[in-house]
Amino acid sequence: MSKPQPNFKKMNLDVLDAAESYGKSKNVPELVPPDKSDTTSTLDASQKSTTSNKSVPAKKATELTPTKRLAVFLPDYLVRAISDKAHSNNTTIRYVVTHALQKAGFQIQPQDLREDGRRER
Amino acid sequence: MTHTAHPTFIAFASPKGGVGKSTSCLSIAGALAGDGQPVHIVDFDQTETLWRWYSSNPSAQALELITVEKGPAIADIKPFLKNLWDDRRGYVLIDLAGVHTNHMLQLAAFAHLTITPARLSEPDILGANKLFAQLKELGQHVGKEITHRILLNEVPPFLAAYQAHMLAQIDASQIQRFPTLMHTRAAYSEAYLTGLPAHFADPQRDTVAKAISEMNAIRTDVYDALNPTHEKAVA
Repeated sequence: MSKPQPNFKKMNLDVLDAAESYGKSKNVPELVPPDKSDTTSTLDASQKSTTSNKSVPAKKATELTPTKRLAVFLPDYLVRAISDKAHSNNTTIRYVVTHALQKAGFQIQPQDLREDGRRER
Repeated sequence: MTHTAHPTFIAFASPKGGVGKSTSCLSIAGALAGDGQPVHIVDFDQTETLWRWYSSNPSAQALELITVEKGPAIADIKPFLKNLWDDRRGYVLIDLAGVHTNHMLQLAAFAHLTITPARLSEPDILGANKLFAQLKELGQHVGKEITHRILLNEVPPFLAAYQAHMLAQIDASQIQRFPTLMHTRAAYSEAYLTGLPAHFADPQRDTVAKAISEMNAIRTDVYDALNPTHEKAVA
């Protein structure tokens, strides 16, 4: 077994400073401990929300109108046409129907005329 | 047993987490201690894997040759390293967090040997390659040749075609790796199973015996990397 006798063994603490300046020139990130004055224990709830989400304010969820199911029998070709239009416009069938009803003079709230029915988070 | 007057610093660094830094660090610590070398581990990782292993484990604390402590804040690093250099003997192993930071580069540049564990997977090798290139450039910047080795671990007994190709590419590149492959990292997790590194666990168990055998080979690789003259003579 060869014993460890590094032939270059010495210590140079100046390397730390040189490495730090190199890292900064390359924009290598640094681990920064949290500022003690910024601890949340001394902040009230409103301050917490402003400090934690300064750049991205929370999006308020849209309030949904209660709905009811309406089943009607329509001609085959009309059902197919509604479905095709929804597909080609990349919307929901519900949107095609509600949009047509709005054009016909029915009062429909803007939040109920969503083209995309997927939930937003 | 004779020890050199000052310790040898070995850093375990990778810009990517989950590559086996803490496990390799502890296994190599066990192998060095198994060779009679005092080993002091400094845990700079926020997850404190090795510090938790040591502080909550009476059998670990009973090991005479292995000690563990948590690393200090970045601002206090210089006096801390100076004290280690003056007070310690044998080896100081530095386990760093798996993130690409200035702190990691500083300690990797400072150490006598920097080991980057990696599996034969693209993300690990990309991370290791990135660090290799940066340490090479950093070495030129600071005027010091930084000794860097990749430790391939969790290598399966039979390589898939892409892994064999990856290994061939590593060997054809400028990256330097330890010749020994750690075939199954599970064998080196002994310390987290029974509380003791393989070299201090029950050698009658097959996995322990296998781990000891492979870690002895890696220990020789470490000695060779720290002693380039010997490495060249062997080559």
